[in-house]
Amino acid sequence: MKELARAQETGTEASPGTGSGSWDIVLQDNRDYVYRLACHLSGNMHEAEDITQETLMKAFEHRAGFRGEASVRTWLSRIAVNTYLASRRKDGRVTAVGTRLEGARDFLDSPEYLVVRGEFLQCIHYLLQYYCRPSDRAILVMRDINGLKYQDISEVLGITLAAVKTRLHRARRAFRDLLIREGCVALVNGGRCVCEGVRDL
Amino acid sequence: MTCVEVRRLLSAYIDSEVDETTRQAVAEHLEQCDSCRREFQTLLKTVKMIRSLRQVPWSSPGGRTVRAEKDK
Repeated sequence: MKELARAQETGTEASPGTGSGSWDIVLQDNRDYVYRLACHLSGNMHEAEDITQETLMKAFEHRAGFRGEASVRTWLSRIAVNTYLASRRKDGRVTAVGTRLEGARDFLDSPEYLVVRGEFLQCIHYLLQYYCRPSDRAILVMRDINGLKYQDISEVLGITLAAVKTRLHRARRAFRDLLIREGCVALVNGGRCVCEGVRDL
Repeated sequence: MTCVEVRRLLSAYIDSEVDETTRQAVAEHLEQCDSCRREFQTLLKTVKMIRSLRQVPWSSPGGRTVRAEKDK
């Protein structure tokens, strides 16, 4: 177990093997990591908790399939991202860029709004959650919020490194265009953020 | 390197995911080309804005605060 803990610290996680006891510990150790990823993907604490539970449960059930080729976190990220994307496909919340999703107004009354209320954070959070395509959001969250390396994202999404570069760049450009379209003063004029929320909420 | 080639590489350039030769070529182009430099600056600022969400301290349904880890 010491070896496993050391490997996790250095980012070169060893396989915990197939014993259910060591997996219990590994999954609990990574619970916050999965939950944070799920929060940024879903923008909703309760949905994030559901995604986290489902991810950890699936990971435990399929632990024998973990071959240690990727780190435990990369493997968990893959399950979490796929669980999130599947839920979005299921409830039809896949949207074109720049189309506001249903439920966006509810955001103002949600605990999530209170959490991110401050400077321009709520704008960024709002646009990311309600205007971004789920596939764009997933890659932006993985790279820019959770700090996954390109190689890890490639493994999570099961695509080539070249495809990661293309998709990430496309998602960032789309987000940039969204900010410009919404009149983000901080971006357009290079000035300090002066608005108190997303315009036209 | 053309403007089209440089613009396609900007995200990878921001993330230092290009080799040294490419990095130098992009940097030189950005010094000389106002249009690409503006494109680079708005993209970089966008990335910084998205990354600002790292500081959001999410609460778990149990009330525990879950903060982001430092960048690797």
